[in-house]
Amino acid sequence: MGLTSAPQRAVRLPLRNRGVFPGDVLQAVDAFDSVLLGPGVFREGRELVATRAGILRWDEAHHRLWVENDQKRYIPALHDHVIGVVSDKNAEEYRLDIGAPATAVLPLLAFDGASKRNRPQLHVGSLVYCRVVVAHRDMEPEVSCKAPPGVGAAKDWVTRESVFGKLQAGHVFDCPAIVCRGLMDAQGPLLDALADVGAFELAVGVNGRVWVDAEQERMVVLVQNAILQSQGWPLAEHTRLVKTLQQSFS
Amino acid sequence: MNHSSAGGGMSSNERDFIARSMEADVRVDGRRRLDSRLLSMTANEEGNGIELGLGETKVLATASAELVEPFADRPAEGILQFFVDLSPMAAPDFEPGRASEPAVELMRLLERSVRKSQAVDIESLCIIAGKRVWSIRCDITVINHRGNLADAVMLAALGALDHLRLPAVMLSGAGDEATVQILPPDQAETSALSFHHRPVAVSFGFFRHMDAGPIVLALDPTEREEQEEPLFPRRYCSKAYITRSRSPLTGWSG
Repeated sequence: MGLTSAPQRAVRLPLRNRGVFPGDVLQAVDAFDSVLLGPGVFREGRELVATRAGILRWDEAHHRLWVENDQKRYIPALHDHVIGVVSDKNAEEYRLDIGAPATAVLPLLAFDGASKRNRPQLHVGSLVYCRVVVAHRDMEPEVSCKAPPGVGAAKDWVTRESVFGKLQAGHVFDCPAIVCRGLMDAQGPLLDALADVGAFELAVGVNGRVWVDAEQERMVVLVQNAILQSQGWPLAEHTRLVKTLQQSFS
Repeated sequence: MNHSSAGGGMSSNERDFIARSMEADVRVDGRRRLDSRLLSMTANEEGNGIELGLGETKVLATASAELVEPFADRPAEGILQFFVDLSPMAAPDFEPGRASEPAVELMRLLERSVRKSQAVDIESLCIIAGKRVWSIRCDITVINHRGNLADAVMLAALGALDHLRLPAVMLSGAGDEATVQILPPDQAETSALSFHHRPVAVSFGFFRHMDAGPIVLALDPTEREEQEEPLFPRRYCSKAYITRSRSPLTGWSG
Protein backbone atom coordinates (compact mmCIF):
# COMPACT_ATOMS: atom_id res chain seq x y z
CA MET A 1 0.00 0.00 0.00
CA GLY A 2 2.72 2.45 0.92
CA LEU A 3 3.74 4.97 -1.67
CA THR A 4 7.31 5.11 -0.44
CA SER A 5 9.28 2.02 -1.12
CA ALA A 6 12.04 -0.10 0.27
CA PRO A 7 14.78 -0.74 -2.29
CA GLN A 8 13.91 -3.75 -4.39
CA ARG A 9 15.68 -5.72 -7.02
CA ALA A 10 15.55 -4.37 -10.54
CA VAL A 11 12.75 -5.87 -12.62
CA ARG A 12 13.52 -7.16 -16.06
CA LEU A 13 10.73 -6.06 -18.37
CA PRO A 14 11.69 -6.67 -22.01
CA LEU A 15 8.48 -5.08 -23.28
CA ARG A 16 8.82 -1.90 -21.24
CA ASN A 17 8.00 1.24 -23.29
CA ARG A 18 7.10 -0.96 -26.24
CA GLY A 19 3.83 -1.78 -27.88
CA VAL A 20 1.88 -4.73 -26.48
CA PHE A 21 -1.30 -6.44 -27.60
CA PRO A 22 -4.08 -8.06 -25.58
CA GLY A 23 -2.90 -11.49 -24.47
CA ASP A 24 0.80 -10.68 -24.52
CA VAL A 25 2.57 -12.13 -21.48
CA LEU A 26 4.38 -9.22 -19.82
CA GLN A 27 6.30 -10.97 -17.05
CA ALA A 28 5.90 -13.60 -14.34
CA VAL A 29 4.46 -12.31 -11.08
CA ASP A 30 7.47 -13.75 -9.24
CA ALA A 31 9.78 -11.33 -11.01
CA PHE A 32 8.40 -8.51 -8.89
CA ASP A 33 8.91 -7.92 -5.19
CA SER A 34 5.83 -5.77 -5.26
CA VAL A 35 3.68 -4.61 -8.14
CA LEU A 36 0.51 -2.55 -8.43
CA LEU A 37 -1.52 -3.51 -11.47
CA GLY A 38 -2.71 -0.48 -13.38
CA PRO A 39 -5.10 -0.28 -16.31
CA GLY A 40 -4.64 -2.88 -19.02
CA VAL A 41 -2.76 -5.44 -16.91
CA PHE A 42 -4.36 -8.60 -15.60
CA ARG A 43 -3.04 -11.44 -13.52
CA GLU A 44 -3.53 -14.86 -15.01
CA GLY A 45 -2.17 -17.54 -12.72
CA ARG A 46 1.52 -16.81 -12.27
CA GLU A 47 1.73 -14.43 -15.20
CA LEU A 48 0.84 -10.83 -15.89
CA VAL A 49 -0.98 -10.41 -19.17
CA ALA A 50 -1.92 -7.33 -21.18
CA THR A 51 -5.67 -6.86 -21.69
CA ARG A 52 -5.51 -4.05 -24.22
CA ALA A 53 -3.29 -2.71 -26.95
CA GLY A 54 -0.93 0.09 -26.03
CA ILE A 55 2.48 0.89 -24.64
CA LEU A 56 3.71 -0.89 -21.53
CA ARG A 57 4.77 1.50 -18.77
CA TRP A 58 6.55 0.70 -15.54
CA ASP A 59 6.91 3.22 -12.74
CA GLU A 60 9.83 2.02 -10.66
CA ALA A 61 9.25 4.43 -7.78
CA HIS A 62 5.64 3.40 -7.19
CA HIS A 63 5.86 -0.20 -8.49
CA ARG A 64 3.10 0.53 -10.96
CA LEU A 65 2.66 -1.43 -14.15
CA TRP A 66 0.14 -0.35 -16.77
CA VAL A 67 -0.63 -0.30 -20.48
CA GLU A 68 -1.02 3.19 -21.85
CA ASN A 69 -3.31 3.91 -24.77
CA ASP A 70 -5.82 6.47 -25.97
CA GLN A 71 -8.87 4.79 -24.49
CA LYS A 72 -11.64 7.28 -23.85
CA ARG A 73 -13.48 5.46 -21.10
CA TYR A 74 -11.74 5.77 -17.77
CA ILE A 75 -11.25 2.52 -15.85
CA PRO A 76 -10.50 3.30 -12.19
CA ALA A 77 -7.22 2.04 -10.81
CA LEU A 78 -5.98 2.17 -7.22
CA HIS A 79 -4.26 5.44 -6.14
CA ASP A 80 -5.26 7.29 -9.31
CA HIS A 81 -5.84 11.00 -8.81
CA VAL A 82 -9.12 11.91 -10.44
CA ILE A 83 -11.47 14.86 -10.84
CA GLY A 84 -15.13 14.08 -10.24
CA VAL A 85 -18.40 15.96 -10.53
CA VAL A 86 -20.93 15.47 -7.74
CA SER A 87 -24.02 13.96 -9.33
CA ASP A 88 -25.98 13.07 -6.19
CA LYS A 89 -25.74 13.18 -2.41
CA ASN A 90 -27.44 11.26 0.37
CA ALA A 91 -27.13 10.74 4.14
CA GLU A 92 -23.84 8.87 4.00
CA GLU A 93 -22.08 9.61 0.78
CA TYR A 94 -21.69 11.70 -2.32
CA ARG A 95 -21.93 10.12 -5.76
CA LEU A 96 -19.28 11.28 -8.17
CA ASP A 97 -19.16 11.09 -11.92
CA ILE A 98 -15.50 10.32 -12.61
CA GLY A 99 -16.05 9.22 -16.19
CA ALA A 100 -15.97 5.56 -15.19
CA PRO A 101 -18.58 2.93 -16.11
CA ALA A 102 -20.12 3.35 -12.64
CA THR A 103 -20.41 6.40 -10.40
CA ALA A 104 -17.88 6.56 -7.59
CA VAL A 105 -18.70 6.75 -3.90
CA LEU A 106 -17.21 9.54 -1.79
CA PRO A 107 -18.13 9.06 1.90
CA LEU A 108 -19.22 12.31 3.58
CA LEU A 109 -16.38 12.03 6.10
CA ALA A 110 -13.59 11.11 3.69
CA PHE A 111 -11.87 14.45 4.29
CA ASP A 112 -8.99 15.04 6.69
CA GLY A 113 -10.34 16.42 9.96
CA ALA A 114 -13.99 16.09 8.95
CA SER A 115 -16.53 15.16 11.62
CA LYS A 116 -20.28 14.70 11.53
CA ARG A 117 -20.76 18.31 12.57
CA ASN A 118 -17.92 19.88 10.75
CA ARG A 119 -17.48 18.69 7.20
CA PRO A 120 -17.34 20.22 3.73
CA GLN A 121 -20.64 20.79 2.00
CA LEU A 122 -20.67 19.75 -1.63
CA HIS A 123 -23.55 20.25 -4.01
CA VAL A 124 -24.64 18.61 -7.22
CA GLY A 125 -22.29 20.04 -9.84
CA SER A 126 -19.38 20.64 -7.46
CA LEU A 127 -15.95 19.59 -8.65
CA VAL A 128 -13.86 17.36 -6.40
CA TYR A 129 -10.21 16.39 -6.66
CA CYS A 130 -9.77 13.02 -5.02
CA ARG A 131 -7.95 9.71 -5.21
CA VAL A 132 -9.26 6.23 -5.88
CA VAL A 133 -9.14 3.97 -2.81
CA VAL A 134 -11.26 1.04 -4.03
CA ALA A 135 -10.97 -0.12 -7.60
CA HIS A 136 -12.31 -3.55 -8.30
CA ARG A 137 -13.87 -4.66 -11.54
CA ASP A 138 -16.98 -6.00 -9.80
CA MET A 139 -17.47 -3.16 -7.32
CA GLU A 140 -18.33 0.50 -7.42
CA PRO A 141 -15.19 2.58 -7.23
CA GLU A 142 -14.64 4.49 -4.00
CA VAL A 143 -12.71 7.73 -3.77
CA SER A 144 -11.38 9.72 -0.87
CA CYS A 145 -10.15 13.24 -0.25
CA LYS A 146 -7.89 12.19 2.63
CA ALA A 147 -4.16 12.51 2.12
CA PRO A 148 -2.61 9.12 1.35
CA PRO A 149 -0.73 7.36 4.19
CA GLY A 150 2.94 8.18 4.30
CA VAL A 151 2.55 11.77 3.15
CA GLY A 152 3.28 13.16 6.61
CA ALA A 153 1.12 15.76 8.32
CA ALA A 154 -2.16 15.86 6.43
CA LYS A 155 -3.69 19.30 6.15
CA ASP A 156 -7.13 19.68 7.69
CA TRP A 157 -9.82 20.37 5.11
CA VAL A 158 -10.77 23.70 6.77
CA THR A 159 -7.33 25.13 6.08
CA ARG A 160 -8.01 24.85 2.35
CA GLU A 161 -4.42 23.76 1.96
CA SER A 162 -5.13 20.06 1.54
CA VAL A 163 -4.19 18.54 -1.79
CA PHE A 164 -7.56 16.89 -2.30
CA GLY A 165 -10.96 18.40 -1.84
CA LYS A 166 -13.44 20.70 -3.50
CA LEU A 167 -12.15 22.69 -6.45
CA GLN A 168 -13.35 26.28 -6.17
CA ALA A 169 -14.19 28.35 -9.27
CA GLY A 170 -11.88 27.86 -12.24
CA HIS A 171 -12.63 25.82 -15.29
CA VAL A 172 -12.53 22.12 -16.10
CA PHE A 173 -12.07 20.49 -19.48
CA ASP A 174 -11.80 17.01 -20.94
CA CYS A 175 -8.40 16.00 -22.16
CA PRO A 176 -7.05 12.71 -23.55
CA ALA A 177 -5.86 10.54 -20.66
CA ILE A 178 -2.49 10.15 -22.31
CA VAL A 179 -1.93 13.92 -22.19
CA CYS A 180 -3.05 13.94 -18.55
CA ARG A 181 -0.48 11.31 -17.63
CA GLY A 182 2.16 13.37 -19.40
CA LEU A 183 1.21 16.42 -17.32
CA MET A 184 1.43 14.39 -14.10
CA ASP A 185 5.07 13.62 -14.84
CA ALA A 186 5.72 17.37 -14.81
CA GLN A 187 9.02 16.95 -16.65
CA GLY A 188 7.88 18.62 -19.84
CA PRO A 189 8.58 22.26 -20.71
CA LEU A 190 4.90 22.99 -21.39
CA LEU A 191 3.87 24.02 -17.86
CA ASP A 192 7.08 25.99 -17.40
CA ALA A 193 6.45 27.91 -20.59
CA LEU A 194 2.89 28.63 -19.47
CA ALA A 195 4.11 29.76 -16.05
CA ASP A 196 6.32 32.32 -17.79
CA VAL A 197 3.19 33.86 -19.31
CA GLY A 198 1.27 34.16 -16.07
CA ALA A 199 0.31 32.50 -12.80
CA PHE A 200 -2.24 29.72 -12.81
CA GLU A 201 -3.37 26.77 -10.73
CA LEU A 202 -3.73 23.31 -12.21
CA ALA A 203 -5.18 19.98 -11.06
CA VAL A 204 -4.83 16.96 -13.31
CA GLY A 205 -7.04 13.92 -13.04
CA VAL A 206 -5.88 10.84 -14.89
CA ASN A 207 -9.55 10.19 -15.70
CA GLY A 208 -9.15 12.68 -18.51
CA ARG A 209 -10.10 15.92 -16.79
CA VAL A 210 -8.00 18.95 -16.09
CA TRP A 211 -8.95 21.84 -13.84
CA VAL A 212 -7.37 25.27 -14.32
CA ASP A 213 -7.79 28.53 -12.52
CA ALA A 214 -6.14 31.90 -13.03
CA GLU A 215 -6.90 35.51 -12.36
CA GLN A 216 -7.58 36.24 -16.02
CA GLU A 217 -10.01 34.19 -18.11
CA ARG A 218 -7.63 34.61 -21.04
CA MET A 219 -4.90 32.77 -19.13
CA VAL A 220 -7.22 29.86 -18.37
CA VAL A 221 -8.14 29.55 -22.03
CA LEU A 222 -4.47 29.74 -23.01
CA VAL A 223 -3.57 26.93 -20.61
CA GLN A 224 -6.43 24.76 -21.87
CA ASN A 225 -5.61 25.22 -25.52
CA ALA A 226 -1.88 24.76 -25.00
CA ILE A 227 -2.45 21.47 -23.15
CA LEU A 228 -4.93 20.15 -25.71
CA GLN A 229 -2.78 21.10 -28.67
CA SER A 230 0.47 19.84 -27.17
CA GLN A 231 -0.49 16.24 -27.93
CA GLY A 232 1.59 14.90 -30.77
CA TRP A 233 4.18 17.68 -30.66
CA PRO A 234 7.73 16.90 -29.59
CA LEU A 235 8.65 18.36 -26.20
CA ALA A 236 11.12 20.74 -27.81
CA GLU A 237 8.27 22.43 -29.69
CA HIS A 238 6.10 23.08 -26.62
CA THR A 239 7.65 26.43 -25.74
CA ARG A 240 7.07 27.67 -29.26
CA LEU A 241 3.50 26.38 -29.20
CA VAL A 242 2.75 28.44 -26.10
CA LYS A 243 4.28 31.55 -27.72
CA THR A 244 2.19 31.11 -30.87
CA LEU A 245 -1.01 30.60 -28.91
CA GLN A 246 -0.26 33.55 -26.67
CA GLN A 247 0.07 35.81 -29.70
CA SER A 248 -3.16 34.59 -31.26
CA PHE A 249 -5.08 35.21 -28.03
CA SER A 250 -3.84 38.72 -27.31
CA MET B 1 -11.80 12.92 -25.48
CA ASN B 2 -13.94 11.90 -22.59
CA HIS B 3 -17.54 12.74 -23.29
CA SER B 4 -19.12 10.62 -20.62
CA SER B 5 -19.72 13.80 -18.68
CA ALA B 6 -21.61 15.48 -21.51
CA GLY B 7 -25.03 16.84 -20.73
CA GLY B 8 -26.29 16.60 -17.18
CA GLY B 9 -22.89 15.95 -15.65
CA MET B 10 -21.46 19.36 -16.42
CA SER B 11 -19.96 20.97 -13.34
CA SER B 12 -21.12 24.30 -12.00
CA ASN B 13 -17.52 25.51 -12.23
CA GLU B 14 -17.56 25.03 -15.99
CA ARG B 15 -20.96 26.70 -16.39
CA ASP B 16 -19.79 29.72 -14.44
CA PHE B 17 -16.56 29.95 -16.35
CA ILE B 18 -18.24 29.83 -19.74
CA ALA B 19 -20.43 32.81 -18.85
CA ARG B 20 -17.60 34.66 -17.08
CA SER B 21 -15.15 34.29 -19.95
CA MET B 22 -17.85 35.25 -22.44
CA GLU B 23 -18.05 38.61 -20.71
CA ALA B 24 -14.29 39.02 -21.16
CA ASP B 25 -14.68 38.16 -24.86
CA VAL B 26 -12.65 34.97 -24.74
CA ARG B 27 -14.30 31.64 -25.31
CA VAL B 28 -13.15 28.29 -24.05
CA ASP B 29 -11.95 27.18 -27.48
CA GLY B 30 -10.03 30.40 -28.03
CA ARG B 31 -12.60 32.13 -30.21
CA ARG B 32 -13.96 35.63 -29.69
CA ARG B 33 -17.69 36.12 -29.24
CA LEU B 34 -18.50 36.73 -32.88
CA ASP B 35 -16.13 34.14 -34.34
CA SER B 36 -17.58 31.15 -36.09
CA ARG B 37 -15.90 27.77 -36.23
CA LEU B 38 -14.28 26.48 -39.38
CA LEU B 39 -16.79 25.28 -41.95
CA SER B 40 -16.14 22.55 -44.47
CA MET B 41 -18.42 20.94 -47.05
CA THR B 42 -17.64 17.90 -49.14
CA ALA B 43 -19.82 16.32 -51.79
CA ASN B 44 -19.85 12.56 -51.43
CA GLU B 45 -18.83 10.26 -54.27
CA GLU B 46 -22.30 8.96 -55.03
CA GLY B 47 -23.23 12.51 -55.90
CA ASN B 48 -26.33 12.61 -53.76
CA GLY B 49 -25.08 14.03 -50.50
CA ILE B 50 -23.04 16.54 -48.57
CA GLU B 51 -20.81 16.02 -45.59
CA LEU B 52 -20.63 19.15 -43.53
CA GLY B 53 -18.27 19.96 -40.71
CA LEU B 54 -18.74 22.98 -38.46
CA GLY B 55 -15.82 22.74 -36.06
CA GLU B 56 -16.23 19.29 -34.60
CA THR B 57 -19.95 19.13 -35.40
CA LYS B 58 -20.47 16.75 -38.30
CA VAL B 59 -23.60 16.36 -40.38
CA LEU B 60 -24.37 14.18 -43.38
CA ALA B 61 -27.23 15.22 -45.66
CA THR B 62 -28.51 13.26 -48.64
CA ALA B 63 -31.32 14.08 -51.03
CA SER B 64 -33.25 11.72 -53.28
CA ALA B 65 -36.15 12.08 -55.65
CA GLU B 66 -38.93 9.76 -56.80
CA LEU B 67 -42.11 10.12 -58.82
CA VAL B 68 -45.31 9.96 -56.77
CA GLU B 69 -48.92 11.01 -56.88
CA PRO B 70 -49.35 14.49 -55.38
CA PHE B 71 -51.46 15.31 -52.31
CA ALA B 72 -55.09 15.74 -53.33
CA ASP B 73 -55.33 19.27 -51.95
CA ARG B 74 -52.18 20.41 -53.77
CA PRO B 75 -52.31 18.67 -57.13
CA ALA B 76 -49.83 21.00 -58.85
CA GLU B 77 -47.09 20.97 -56.24
CA GLY B 78 -44.19 18.63 -55.69
CA ILE B 79 -43.37 17.22 -52.27
CA LEU B 80 -40.37 18.25 -50.20
CA GLN B 81 -39.72 16.49 -46.92
CA PHE B 82 -37.00 16.69 -44.31
CA PHE B 83 -35.96 14.01 -41.85
CA VAL B 84 -33.45 14.72 -39.12
CA ASP B 85 -31.86 11.83 -37.27
CA LEU B 86 -30.28 12.46 -33.88
CA SER B 87 -28.89 9.11 -32.82
CA PRO B 88 -26.86 8.28 -29.69
CA MET B 89 -23.86 8.18 -31.99
CA ALA B 90 -24.02 11.98 -32.21
CA ALA B 91 -24.22 12.54 -28.46
CA PRO B 92 -24.77 10.08 -25.61
CA ASP B 93 -27.89 11.85 -24.35
CA PHE B 94 -29.78 11.39 -27.62
CA GLU B 95 -32.08 8.39 -27.57
CA PRO B 96 -32.55 5.94 -30.40
CA GLY B 97 -35.94 5.34 -31.99
CA ARG B 98 -38.64 7.92 -32.46
CA ALA B 99 -37.72 11.47 -33.40
CA SER B 100 -36.86 13.37 -30.24
CA GLU B 101 -37.96 16.89 -29.42
CA PRO B 102 -34.79 18.59 -30.68
CA ALA B 103 -34.98 16.53 -33.89
CA VAL B 104 -38.58 17.60 -34.47
CA GLU B 105 -37.60 21.17 -33.80
CA LEU B 106 -34.85 21.01 -36.41
CA MET B 107 -37.24 19.46 -38.96
CA ARG B 108 -39.71 22.28 -38.33
CA LEU B 109 -36.98 24.84 -38.78
CA LEU B 110 -36.07 23.30 -42.14
CA GLU B 111 -39.67 23.15 -43.27
CA ARG B 112 -40.31 26.74 -42.27
CA SER B 113 -37.22 28.18 -43.83
CA VAL B 114 -36.83 26.03 -46.94
CA ARG B 115 -40.30 24.90 -47.96
CA LYS B 116 -42.70 27.42 -46.46
CA SER B 117 -40.48 30.34 -47.42
CA GLN B 118 -40.61 29.04 -51.00
CA ALA B 119 -36.85 28.78 -51.20
CA VAL B 120 -37.26 25.81 -53.50
CA ASP B 121 -39.71 26.16 -56.36
CA ILE B 122 -42.16 23.41 -55.46
CA GLU B 123 -44.40 24.01 -58.43
CA SER B 124 -41.66 23.23 -60.90
CA LEU B 125 -41.57 19.72 -59.44
CA CYS B 126 -44.98 18.99 -60.89
CA ILE B 127 -45.00 16.88 -64.05
CA ILE B 128 -48.68 16.08 -64.56
CA ALA B 129 -50.98 17.97 -62.24
CA GLY B 130 -52.85 15.59 -59.96
CA LYS B 131 -51.00 12.54 -61.29
CA ARG B 132 -47.23 12.67 -61.16
CA VAL B 133 -44.92 14.97 -59.23
CA TRP B 134 -41.39 14.70 -57.88
CA SER B 135 -41.17 13.89 -54.21
CA ILE B 136 -37.88 15.08 -52.76
CA ARG B 137 -36.71 13.53 -49.56
CA CYS B 138 -33.84 15.08 -47.65
CA ASP B 139 -32.28 12.94 -44.92
CA ILE B 140 -30.02 14.64 -42.44
CA THR B 141 -27.98 12.49 -40.09
CA VAL B 142 -26.07 14.17 -37.31
CA ILE B 143 -22.83 12.24 -36.95
CA ASN B 144 -21.29 14.29 -34.16
CA HIS B 145 -23.11 16.85 -32.05
CA ARG B 146 -20.74 19.53 -30.85
CA GLY B 147 -23.18 22.39 -30.83
CA ASN B 148 -25.07 24.65 -33.21
CA LEU B 149 -26.99 21.93 -35.00
CA ALA B 150 -29.44 24.43 -36.47
CA ASP B 151 -26.86 26.15 -38.65
CA ALA B 152 -25.11 22.93 -39.59
CA VAL B 153 -28.28 21.02 -40.45
CA MET B 154 -29.73 23.85 -42.51
CA LEU B 155 -26.56 24.40 -44.50
CA ALA B 156 -26.10 20.68 -45.10
CA ALA B 157 -29.71 20.24 -46.21
CA LEU B 158 -29.42 23.13 -48.61
CA GLY B 159 -26.16 21.76 -49.95
CA ALA B 160 -27.72 18.37 -50.55
CA LEU B 161 -30.74 19.89 -52.31
CA ASP B 162 -28.47 22.04 -54.41
CA HIS B 163 -26.43 18.99 -55.28
CA LEU B 164 -29.41 16.89 -56.34
CA ARG B 165 -29.97 16.27 -60.06
CA LEU B 166 -33.39 15.27 -61.31
CA PRO B 167 -33.38 12.95 -64.30
CA ALA B 168 -35.24 14.06 -67.40
CA VAL B 169 -38.67 12.55 -67.97
CA MET B 170 -40.56 11.71 -71.14
CA LEU B 171 -44.29 12.27 -71.36
CA SER B 172 -46.43 10.23 -73.69
CA GLY B 173 -50.14 10.26 -74.28
CA ALA B 174 -52.48 12.96 -73.12
CA GLY B 175 -55.19 13.51 -70.54
CA ASP B 176 -55.92 10.47 -68.38
CA GLU B 177 -53.82 8.27 -70.65
CA ALA B 178 -50.61 10.21 -70.02
CA THR B 179 -47.64 8.19 -68.84
CA VAL B 180 -44.29 9.36 -67.50
CA GLN B 181 -41.02 7.63 -68.20
CA ILE B 182 -37.72 8.44 -66.48
CA LEU B 183 -34.83 8.74 -68.91
CA PRO B 184 -31.40 7.45 -67.87
CA PRO B 185 -28.88 10.26 -67.31
CA ASP B 186 -26.72 9.25 -70.31
CA GLN B 187 -29.63 9.85 -72.68
CA ALA B 188 -30.87 13.20 -71.47
CA GLU B 189 -29.56 16.13 -69.45
CA THR B 190 -30.40 16.06 -65.78
CA SER B 191 -31.60 19.22 -64.13
CA ALA B 192 -31.04 20.89 -60.76
CA LEU B 193 -33.78 22.11 -58.47
CA SER B 194 -34.68 25.71 -58.99
CA PHE B 195 -34.17 27.99 -56.05
CA HIS B 196 -35.86 31.30 -55.44
CA HIS B 197 -33.43 32.13 -52.66
CA ARG B 198 -31.11 30.36 -50.27
CA PRO B 199 -31.80 30.65 -46.56
CA VAL B 200 -28.91 30.59 -44.12
CA ALA B 201 -29.45 30.08 -40.39
CA VAL B 202 -27.33 32.03 -37.95
CA SER B 203 -27.57 31.03 -34.30
CA PHE B 204 -26.48 32.94 -31.26
CA GLY B 205 -26.23 31.93 -27.62
CA PHE B 206 -27.16 34.47 -24.94
CA PHE B 207 -25.14 34.65 -21.77
CA ARG B 208 -25.30 36.55 -18.54
CA HIS B 209 -22.78 35.95 -15.80
CA MET B 210 -24.19 37.92 -12.91
CA ASP B 211 -27.81 38.58 -12.04
CA ALA B 212 -27.80 42.19 -13.12
CA GLY B 213 -24.86 41.94 -15.51
CA PRO B 214 -24.95 42.68 -19.21
CA ILE B 215 -26.34 40.12 -21.63
CA VAL B 216 -23.75 39.13 -24.20
CA LEU B 217 -24.34 37.07 -27.29
CA ALA B 218 -22.01 34.70 -29.05
CA LEU B 219 -22.07 33.28 -32.54
CA ASP B 220 -21.99 29.56 -33.28
CA PRO B 221 -22.18 28.17 -29.73
CA THR B 222 -20.62 24.79 -28.93
CA GLU B 223 -22.62 22.10 -27.16
CA ARG B 224 -21.02 23.04 -23.83
CA GLU B 225 -22.02 26.64 -24.36
CA GLU B 226 -25.56 25.59 -25.21
CA GLN B 227 -25.73 23.86 -21.85
CA GLU B 228 -24.97 27.17 -20.23
CA GLU B 229 -28.46 28.57 -19.85
CA PRO B 230 -28.51 31.29 -17.23
CA LEU B 231 -31.17 33.24 -19.05
CA PHE B 232 -33.57 30.77 -20.55
CA PRO B 233 -34.74 27.56 -19.00
CA ARG B 234 -34.96 25.38 -22.09
CA ARG B 235 -32.00 24.29 -24.06
CA TYR B 236 -33.01 25.38 -27.52
CA CYS B 237 -34.48 28.58 -26.17
CA SER B 238 -31.00 29.80 -25.41
CA LYS B 239 -30.62 30.36 -29.13
CA ALA B 240 -32.31 32.69 -31.48
CA TYR B 241 -32.59 31.80 -35.11
CA ILE B 242 -32.16 34.60 -37.53
CA THR B 243 -32.85 33.25 -40.97
CA ARG B 244 -31.73 35.33 -43.88
CA SER B 245 -31.79 34.78 -47.58
CA ARG B 246 -29.14 35.54 -50.12
CA SER B 247 -28.97 35.51 -53.88
CA PRO B 248 -28.21 32.18 -55.60
CA LEU B 249 -24.66 30.97 -55.41
CA THR B 250 -23.00 29.34 -58.32
CA GLY B 251 -23.24 26.02 -56.51
CA TRP B 252 -21.20 24.26 -53.84
CA SER B 253 -17.80 23.15 -54.85
CA GLY B 254 -16.61 19.71 -53.80
